[in-house]
Amino acid sequence: MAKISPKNVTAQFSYRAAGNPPSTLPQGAISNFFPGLEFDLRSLWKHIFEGIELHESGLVSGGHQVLAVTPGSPGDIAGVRPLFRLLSVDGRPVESRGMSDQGPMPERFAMEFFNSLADAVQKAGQPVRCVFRNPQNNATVNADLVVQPIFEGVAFSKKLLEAGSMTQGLCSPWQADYRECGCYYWAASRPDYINVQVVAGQARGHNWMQRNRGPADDYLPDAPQDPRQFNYNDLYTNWEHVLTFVVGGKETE
Amino acid sequence: MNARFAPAPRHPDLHLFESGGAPHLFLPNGSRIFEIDEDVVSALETALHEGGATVPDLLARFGLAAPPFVTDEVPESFATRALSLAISQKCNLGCTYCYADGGSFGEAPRNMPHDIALAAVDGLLRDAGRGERYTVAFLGGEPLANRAALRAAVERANHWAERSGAHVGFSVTTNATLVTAEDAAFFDKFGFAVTVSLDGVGDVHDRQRPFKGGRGSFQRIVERLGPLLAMRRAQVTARVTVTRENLSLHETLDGLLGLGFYGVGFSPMLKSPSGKGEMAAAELGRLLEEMIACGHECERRLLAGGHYGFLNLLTALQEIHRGTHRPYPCGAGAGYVAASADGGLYACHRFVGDDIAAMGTVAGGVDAGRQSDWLVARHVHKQEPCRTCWARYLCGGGCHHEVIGRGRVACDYIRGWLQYCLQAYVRLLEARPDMFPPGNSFRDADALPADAVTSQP
Ligand code: SF4
Ligand code: SF4
Repeated sequence: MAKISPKNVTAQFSYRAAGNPPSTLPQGAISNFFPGLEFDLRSLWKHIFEGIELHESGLVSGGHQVLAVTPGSPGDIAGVRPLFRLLSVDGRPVESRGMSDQGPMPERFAMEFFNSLADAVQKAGQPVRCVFRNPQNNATVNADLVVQPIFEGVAFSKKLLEAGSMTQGLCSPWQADYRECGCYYWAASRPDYINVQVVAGQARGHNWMQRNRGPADDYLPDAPQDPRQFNYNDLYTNWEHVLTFVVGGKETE
Repeated sequence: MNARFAPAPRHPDLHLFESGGAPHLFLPNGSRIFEIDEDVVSALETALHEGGATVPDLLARFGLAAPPFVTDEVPESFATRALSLAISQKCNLGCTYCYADGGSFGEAPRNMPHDIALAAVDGLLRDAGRGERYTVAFLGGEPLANRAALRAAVERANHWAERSGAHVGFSVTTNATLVTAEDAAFFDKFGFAVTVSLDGVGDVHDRQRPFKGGRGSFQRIVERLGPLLAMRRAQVTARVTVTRENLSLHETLDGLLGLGFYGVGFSPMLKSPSGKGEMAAAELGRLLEEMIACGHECERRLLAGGHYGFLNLLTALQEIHRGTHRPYPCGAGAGYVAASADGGLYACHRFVGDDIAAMGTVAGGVDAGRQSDWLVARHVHKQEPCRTCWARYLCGGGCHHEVIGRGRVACDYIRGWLQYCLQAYVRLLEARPDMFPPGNSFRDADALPADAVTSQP
């Protein structure tokens, strides 16, 4: 096999290493990261601070949960313990607010919460002030924790991630998770709003999960328990019959 | 330089060079560098000998194809992020080659009035957003011939920065003959990047940069440098304009670094109003040898773990590492414009007063139509013979001012220098990986002027 070894940054990130799938190239990337169709970006945050392991998914509200603290690390010495919650980093709150531009949105807890640590990446190698809350007594604990660099060259740091951790938590909408996808990201060939007709500026169509999709049937908001919609069992055992291809916005047989 | 692969262009999509005894492939698309083996070399050589038509297929077969990093698409407009003020269009020196014709750009010498300086700064920063980065540069003429307006402009810029949360950096290019301890303290306080124009040490400098009366200026400058070089926040660099008269670059480099400058950059004189000092082809060959000799010295020092302020190489190395690929040689007429003393806007400081690159007025802002025309016309895909030159995205097509005024006379020099820089990069990447830290080590992209890679002014 020809020996080709990329040297500079552009060469490295546009060269597909042996064994990597096409989606590891910028031009082939799907760029969906929540929890992701190609990488689960949340895995990066688990070890972003030296000496502390965080839960990668965060929790719905109240800040990332601490899973483990290395004995003798600055966090340990400052009194941070497992189950504590991370409230802010470097003066910026990182806990979920359950808010959107439109106000509170209790049913969709701030998706971007998971990436609220992205800011810290800029401070690689430096200590930043982290504020934790002890859930037992609500007391706060401050610790100055060093931010780990997330890159080695143009690849993710091996110190931060074990092999496979960027893909272990991916969603798999094409296998089973149709209903569970929190970000409504679907391939163009399988849109979730179908048979759409625009009449006088108003769009009318069907939720792809609803059983009856005649011209007179209106859109049903997603509700797994609604008998008028496909249930989990239908989707697990019979997905290829209940979800057909959509061509030109219309379902096909 | 290894004789096996010459810097002359062979194919628009690739360039072969050797470094450390191993063949390397440079792909202009994305300015990507790969080490390759002899099998890849011979496949590529065969394709080149057959006329080159199969090169794209071959690159795809080796997994080296990529969508175009630079497309034909031209940005319609650019927000101005860097502004230079010709704060004083007069000068106390009479440099032999001066692009500004003694500082006045061929017009009556004058200072920029306060209200124009302030209006220019207002235009740049009025709508600045939090976290955005701006640069205000002071050029001339000699900027310190109008220090009151300079200071007022800095104060105004800081006022806007405080209000908006934008970051404003300052730079000044000075001949240093008028600089006082107070000036140095002022520059230090506001973190200026200070560039001193010096063309050599002693007589070498004096021959090119005398006072208007003919007396040498070097001694005076050295007397005045003390407080500047003692500044704590800002790094002070020297900028050398190279003509056929001061071609002993290594000597100049060591001499100026010895004075205490953090770094020294060389720019060949390719276009002057009178034609005086412009370098001819043969002299550019000598220049290349001199530059490479300085490069070898710089490599030697870096390999020994030290620093050596040969800015042309140091900056080129960082750009090559990132894979810089630019459709223009610099920000002129794009993110960067220059204001003249009478309130005109031009593509850059060297075009002040020249209608060919007029970009609107301080009062009315950048003229969108003129800017868009400029961006369309100056895109490197529109330039000949750049379209087929392997160096096109590192070079960007050459300094607009020189190319429009004199044509592309320095291409062999540019390619020879870039090839050397590519070779040095491969060597240093191996030996000094700490010079190329991973992650976001990006310099301020709007830094001014964009001269490093091709040694443009
Ligand atoms: S100006 Fe630059 S890009 Fe154009 S041909 Fe010359 S070296 Fe190549
Ligand atoms: S490279 Fe030339 S055109 Fe660009 S800013 Fe410098 S002098 Fe002006």
